[in-house]
Amino acid sequence: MQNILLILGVPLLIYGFWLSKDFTGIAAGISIFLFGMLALEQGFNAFTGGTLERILRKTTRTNWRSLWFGILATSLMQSSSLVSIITISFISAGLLELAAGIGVIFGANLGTSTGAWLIAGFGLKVNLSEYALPLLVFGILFIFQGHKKIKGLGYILAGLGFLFLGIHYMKESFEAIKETLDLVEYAIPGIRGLLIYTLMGFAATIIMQSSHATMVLIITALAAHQITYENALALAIGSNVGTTVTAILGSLGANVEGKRLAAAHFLFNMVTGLLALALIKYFEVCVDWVAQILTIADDNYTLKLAIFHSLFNLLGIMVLFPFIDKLVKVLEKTIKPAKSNIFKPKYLNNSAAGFPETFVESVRLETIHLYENAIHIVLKTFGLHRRDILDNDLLWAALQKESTRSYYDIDGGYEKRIKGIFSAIIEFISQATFSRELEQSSKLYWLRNSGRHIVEAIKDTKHLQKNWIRYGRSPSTEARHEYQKIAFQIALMIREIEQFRQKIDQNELPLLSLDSLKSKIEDDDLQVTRQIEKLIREKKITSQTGSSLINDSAYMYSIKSNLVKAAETLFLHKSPQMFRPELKLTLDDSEIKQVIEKINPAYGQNSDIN
Amino acid sequence: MNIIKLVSKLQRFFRPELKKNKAHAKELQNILDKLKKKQQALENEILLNQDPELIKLFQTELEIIRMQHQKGIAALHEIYQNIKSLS
Repeated sequence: MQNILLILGVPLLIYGFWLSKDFTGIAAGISIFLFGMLALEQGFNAFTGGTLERILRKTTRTNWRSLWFGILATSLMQSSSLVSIITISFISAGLLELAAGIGVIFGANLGTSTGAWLIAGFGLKVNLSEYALPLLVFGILFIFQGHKKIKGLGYILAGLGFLFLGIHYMKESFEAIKETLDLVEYAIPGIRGLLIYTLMGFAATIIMQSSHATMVLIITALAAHQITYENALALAIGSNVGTTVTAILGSLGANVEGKRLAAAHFLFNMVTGLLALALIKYFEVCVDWVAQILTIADDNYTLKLAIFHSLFNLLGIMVLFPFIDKLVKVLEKTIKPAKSNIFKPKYLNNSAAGFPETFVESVRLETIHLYENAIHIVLKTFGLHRRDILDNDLLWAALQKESTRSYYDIDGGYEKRIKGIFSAIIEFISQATFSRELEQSSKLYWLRNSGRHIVEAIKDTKHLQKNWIRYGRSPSTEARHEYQKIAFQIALMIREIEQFRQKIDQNELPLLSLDSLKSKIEDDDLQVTRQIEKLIREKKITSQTGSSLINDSAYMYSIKSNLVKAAETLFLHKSPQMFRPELKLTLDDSEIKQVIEKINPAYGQNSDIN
Repeated sequence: MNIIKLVSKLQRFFRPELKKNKAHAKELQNILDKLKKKQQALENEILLNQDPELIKLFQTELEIIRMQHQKGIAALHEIYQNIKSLS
C-alpha cells in the first residue's frame, strides 16, 4: 500500500512543484508540520519510562477517569497517536483493562479538538514563524545535550517550532495561491459534496497518517477561503474516520486486547462520523448557537469548524460512553484470541516493546509462562498432575501409584516448553530499543536470572529422574520410600510457592516471609540426610543406595532453591524501592543455617555434607 | 512561626539526606512493629498447639522472625546514628 502511494505520489508532487510555487509551499508546510509531530512524539517518549506510565496507571481506575486522561493527555501532547500507542502497549502488557483503554481512546478523540481550537483561535491570528524560530534554536540546543530529559525537552521545543513553521507555510501559501487559483470554484454543494469531501478527508488522513495534520490543512485552507465551510465540515468528518486506519495498522503487532481496542477505536469514529453526516444540518444549527454563546463572529468559520469538531466527538462520547462495558463484552465475543500455544511466547509482542514499563512487564509475564511450563515438566517427571499437589494425602497417594515411575521425556519437554520461550525472552531483552533506566535494567537482569534458575531446576530434575525410576522399581521398600519423600517435598514446595503467590497481596511482609520457605528447604535437607544416615546405620539400605540418595537429595535441594529464587523475582515484582527496607532484614544463607542449627541442635555435625 | 522553627525547616529542606534517613527509620520501625505482631501470634500458636511437627514449624518461623527483628534493630540503630551525625 505504502509503495503504491510512493509510486503515485512522487510524480504527482514533482508535477505539482513544477506547476505552482505555492503548491510547493503548501506541501512543504505539511511536511514540516508532520516532521514537527514526529519530533514532538520523540520528545514525549523521553518522558515515558516512568512518569507518564505511573500517571496512566493511577488515573485509569474508572471509565470516567480514563476518559479524562485521554482528553488531557492528548490536549497536552497534541498527539492522539502517541496516546493510542501507549494505551495499546499497556493493554498488551496486561497493565490496563480494555474498558479503561476504550475510555482513554474516547477521550483522546475529544482531546484532538483542542488542536483545532488552538490553531483556529491562536495560530491564524499571530505570526507563528516569529515564535517558531526561537523555539527551533532552543530545541536544537537542548537536543545536543547528553541528559535524556533535556534532550526530550529539546525535541518537544523543536517539534513545536516545526509545527508553527509548518502552519505558517501552509497559511502563507494558501493566501498566495488565492491570486492565481480559486479552489472554491471546485466546491461541491449538497449531499454529493458532503460525501465526496468526507472521502477526501478520509484519504488525506490515511496518506498523512495524522488527523491533526489534515485538520491544520483544512483550517488554513478555510481561513484563506480556498474551501467552503460546508466542505470543510465534511473534510473534518472524513479525517476523524481516517485516523482509525493508523490505529488499526498500529494494532497489527499487538495481542488480542490491542486488536479489540483498535476495533473499539474504529467503531467509535465510524459511529461518530455517521452521526455527524446524518445530523449535519442540526450540527450546523448547534454550532451557530454555541458560537453565539461564545461570542464568536458569524463569519469566523475556522473557530466554528473547531466547535463542530468538538461537538460531534462529544456526541460520540455521549452515545457510546455509557455502553463501554457492553462494548467490551461484544468485543470479547467477536475478537477471540488465537488458540493459545503453550509452547510459544505469549506476551512478547511489538506493542509491549515500545515503552520501558510495558517491556519489563511483558518479560515478567513471559518468564511466569516459562515457570508454569517448568512446573509442568517437574511434576510430570514424578508422574504428577497439578491437581495431585492440592492436598498432602492426595499427593502421597498419587506417589504410591505404579504409573508415577513411567518415563517422562524431559529433553523433549525442555525442547518444546522451555527452550523456545527462554530463547525468545533473551532475544526480546537484547532487542530493546529504548534507553533503559537503571531500575528497568536491574529488573531485566533479575528476570533473565530468574529464567536461568528455572532452567537449572529442570536440569536438576533430569539428573534426579534416573534414580527416581530405578529405585521406584527397587524391591527395597526403604529406598522406594525415600525417593517418594524426595518427590513429595519437591511437590510440596511447588504448592507452597503457589500459595505464597496467591496470597501475596494479603501478605504484609512478602519478602521476609520467603525466608520461611528458604529455611524449610534447609531443614528438609537436614532431615533427609539424617534419615539416610540412620537407614545406612541400621542396614536398611546399602551404602550405594545411600550415596545415590545423598546425591539426589542435593538435586532436590537445588530444584527447590532455584524455584524459590525464580519465584522471588517473578512474584515480588513491584518497585524494588518498595521492598528496600525489608531487604535489610532478610536472612542470608548462613543466617538461615544458624536458625536451623538452633532448632536442630545436632545440625553442625551434618552441615558439612552439603 | 518563630525564627528557630523557620531555620530548622530550612535546614531540613537543604539536607535531603537527613529527611531520607528519617523516612527510612520510619519505614523500618513500621516493619519491626509488624514483625513483633507476627512474633506474638506465633508464640500464641505454639502455646495452643499439641502437634510436635507443627510446633517445630512455628518455632522455626519464630526463630527466623527473631533474627529478622534483630537485624532490623541493628539497621535502625545505624540509621539513628546517621541522623545524629547529620543533625
